[in-house]
Amino acid sequence: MLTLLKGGKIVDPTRHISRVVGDIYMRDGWIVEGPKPGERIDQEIDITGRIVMAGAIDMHTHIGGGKVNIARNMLPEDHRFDPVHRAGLCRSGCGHAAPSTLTTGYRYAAMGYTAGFEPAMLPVNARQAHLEMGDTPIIDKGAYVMLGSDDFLLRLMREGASQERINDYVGFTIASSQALGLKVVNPGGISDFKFNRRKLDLDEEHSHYHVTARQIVHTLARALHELKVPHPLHIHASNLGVPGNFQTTLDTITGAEGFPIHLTHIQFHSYGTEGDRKFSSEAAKIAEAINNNPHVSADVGQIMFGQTVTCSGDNMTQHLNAGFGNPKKSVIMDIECDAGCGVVPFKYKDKNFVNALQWAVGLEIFLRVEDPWRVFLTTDHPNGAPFTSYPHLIRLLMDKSFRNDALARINPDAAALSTLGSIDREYTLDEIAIMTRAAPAKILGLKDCGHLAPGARADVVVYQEDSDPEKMFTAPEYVFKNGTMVAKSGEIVAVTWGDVHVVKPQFDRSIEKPLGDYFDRHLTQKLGNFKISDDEIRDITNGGGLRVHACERDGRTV
Amino acid sequence: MATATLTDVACPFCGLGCDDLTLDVSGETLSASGGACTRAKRAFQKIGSLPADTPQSWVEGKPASLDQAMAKVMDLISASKAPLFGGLATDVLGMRGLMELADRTGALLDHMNSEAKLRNLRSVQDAGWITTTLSEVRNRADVIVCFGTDVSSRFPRFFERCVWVEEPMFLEDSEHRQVIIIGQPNDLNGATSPNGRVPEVISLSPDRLAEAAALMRGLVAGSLPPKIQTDLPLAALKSVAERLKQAHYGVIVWAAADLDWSHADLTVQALTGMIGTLNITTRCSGLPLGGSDGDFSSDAVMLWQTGYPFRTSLASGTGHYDPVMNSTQRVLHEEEADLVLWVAGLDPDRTQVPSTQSASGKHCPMIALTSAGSPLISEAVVQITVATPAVDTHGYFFRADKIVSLPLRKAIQRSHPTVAEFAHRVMAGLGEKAC
Repeated sequence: MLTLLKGGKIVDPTRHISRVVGDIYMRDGWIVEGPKPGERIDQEIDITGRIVMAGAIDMHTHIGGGKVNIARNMLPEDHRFDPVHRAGLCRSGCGHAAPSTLTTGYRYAAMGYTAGFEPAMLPVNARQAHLEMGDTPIIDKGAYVMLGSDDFLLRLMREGASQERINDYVGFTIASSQALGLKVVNPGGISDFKFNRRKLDLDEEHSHYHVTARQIVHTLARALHELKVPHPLHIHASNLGVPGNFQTTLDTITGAEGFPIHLTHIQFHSYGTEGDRKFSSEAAKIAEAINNNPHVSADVGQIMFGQTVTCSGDNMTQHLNAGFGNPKKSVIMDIECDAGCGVVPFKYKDKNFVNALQWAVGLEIFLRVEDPWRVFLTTDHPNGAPFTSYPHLIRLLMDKSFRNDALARINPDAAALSTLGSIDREYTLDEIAIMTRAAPAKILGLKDCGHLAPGARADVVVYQEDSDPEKMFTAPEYVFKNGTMVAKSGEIVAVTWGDVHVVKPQFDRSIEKPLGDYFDRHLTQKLGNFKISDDEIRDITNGGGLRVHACERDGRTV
Repeated sequence: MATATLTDVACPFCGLGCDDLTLDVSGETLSASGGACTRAKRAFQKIGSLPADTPQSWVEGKPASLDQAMAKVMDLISASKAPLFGGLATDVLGMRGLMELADRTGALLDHMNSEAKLRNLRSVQDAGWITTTLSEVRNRADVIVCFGTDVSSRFPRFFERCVWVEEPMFLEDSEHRQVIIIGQPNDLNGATSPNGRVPEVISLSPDRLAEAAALMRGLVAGSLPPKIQTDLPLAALKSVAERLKQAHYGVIVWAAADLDWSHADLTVQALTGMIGTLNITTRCSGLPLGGSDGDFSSDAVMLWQTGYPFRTSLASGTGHYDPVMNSTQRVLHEEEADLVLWVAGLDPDRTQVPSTQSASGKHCPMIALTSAGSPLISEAVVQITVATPAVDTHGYFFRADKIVSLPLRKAIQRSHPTVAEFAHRVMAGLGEKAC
């Protein structure tokens, strides 16, 4: 089957193509140069005047795993405001803050997203995360597995195990949980919370293992570098949400000592202590640090005003913030000598000083980080806001007067403390294409995604350009996933099942001997049942495939 | 005759999800050993030892071929305007199939254990809680309070696997753990330490436990009046409260099925409120054990596919969750369903089915999907033996702490359809017909 998208304006930053009129051919799920000699074009769609981009990629979105299901369970009152009826090809479900898996897939696809990555998959909960992602239609999926508060790693570090041994463990964990990357959340803190610690700074020793968060970050960042895993360590830094935490964030950057790192939902980690309320924006300093450190990237975790629910592995912080829950309820869990989780519903209010400043901090970071290849458009769905708010966020970035109108409506004290109003920058369409497609594909090592060159997956989005970017990005005219038209002007026209993206780093399998022994002595399942096989992934993806990406790095040295 | 020995087999016959069983397969005969408890041994043996001439399906109580049974199923489902999918004792893959069919037919979904599960769910949806998982208990818990349950009666290997272990990582030894049972235990063997130390029992009848939970919450919070009048054993409960405050990692264990009195969700909330207060100064967690009859497995699938837990109706084309109106018993009693699809696809000894008779004496027709070895259900118009995950099909099972899901492997080859295959066959039969 050969499809021609004729005459669109191509925006493909990976190839430095900006609004160049051209044709795109798709054959059997892939983008190709053009017809073979004598080959018939089966379908031709005239897209003259439309913008064409690769499918968008959400590199940090909580779409699978126990904490999301806890959130769903806790919030029937939220679902009721956004019922999703069975209609056409689509099954019923629910939307808003903690949408059902089916609705998640449909809505992402209708918005022009063709991949989403779960950023906090607990090793012991990985099977559930894959089962949920397996029931998320159309889009491709993948996950970053969490380490850093697991007792096996902390024991290794306490015992002074070699970096090679730790690399083996990291490699084993990524491979056996079928992950694409590795995340650390409040390094050591989730573990220390189990020992009744309530705050763990970057350089404080864990009360039982006597290692520091800085050591954990460095060890894991180095492990990924040495294992040649494309995506650098995905770091949810210490002290999330704490006034003054910008210093922790800056110290985390230096603590990585040049190893590539990715700082996630950095908005929540960019706060100062200036002003009467001892809460201020340090977005400028954080953006400057990112600008000056080419090995550092970040996603923002923008907040939007309204009801949402925060789902985090950082149960130490979530327990601390549970009192701010709205509605006032929370689930906090210690998990399997492996990790933890905390789920707290939240309502961000534009008239609330702290929330308003959080909103401004996020936007400041977007606008002050100069390189769109190193800052990613996220709301940390659903922690800052549901992913369905992305078109609105894009407009805030692309339209200064719209942004300033919004700024005029927030808490005036927060607005006065923010420098947002003085920033003139407006993101270009090319920059939006970089931060939502080209850059996420690059940083995740997905060589055949995020661009439109022959050889790429035929994940293609066709937009009717509009002076209102929110309107443009809400319901693209056509969305193709693996060459199949799946959405048309916001309606789902075909339901397919995306692939699972993973890496399989090389490691010494002899690590399974001490691990098997550890499982038998201390845990409550067998190592063999902990591991997730390729066949299992294929079994649970409803027909989606398993895509293994190479572990290789360019020749950057540290 | 094929013989094989399978190791590290996961067991789906209670919520504990032990995965260290050994299964000896000899032809179609299964015997579980290794650490298997009596319940696991019985279930594997019963499902696995089916005489060759056992019928696979029945129509109106008489043996029938699968095709004959499916023809009857199609008649019933095609005629139904308000189906109820009950029981739902199945694994993740079974539930995925049932959800597709439920969405297609606008069914109401309710599990055989919902009444117990709601005692926890109401509390979570109202206030939330702080909980822990099996391996954390195994390695950290220094004070374990079993509230209203001896645990072992429902989860036979709990103490062996989570308490009396050789090397808890963060305790000097297991022997010094304090185990306190509040209630009327049936079985103290599990809770007795390997050296013979029997657990402390604060003997209270079930009708006093709600009050005891509230009292303990007050004792921990220090919010009781100084001269409280009660005939509960105040000194003993005070001592428990003090020990929880002094504990490094206290754990309150309960099984909602054992809290069998009206408004027991308030008892759960008293316990979780107490745990919340304890966590201001130390660590303490709840361990609300469940997961038997696949209730956590099928509920998890419902949650991620619809956003709602059991007792959700898809009749209007989207999920409508109502924990009171959508109960199996009420719906059948009030004739709000015209067909029951009863799924009891795990433990063949879970034989209890709801009364299909309404207030006016009318019977609602029932289709029953049951494990091999299950008795004939007299209420069922059609009964079909389905493959059981961990025996004659593979699957995935959520265990008691809701975090770990285990792969269930196929041990023997048989021709029984899986629950998902049944659902897909029905959907194929319905074709494009609007429902």
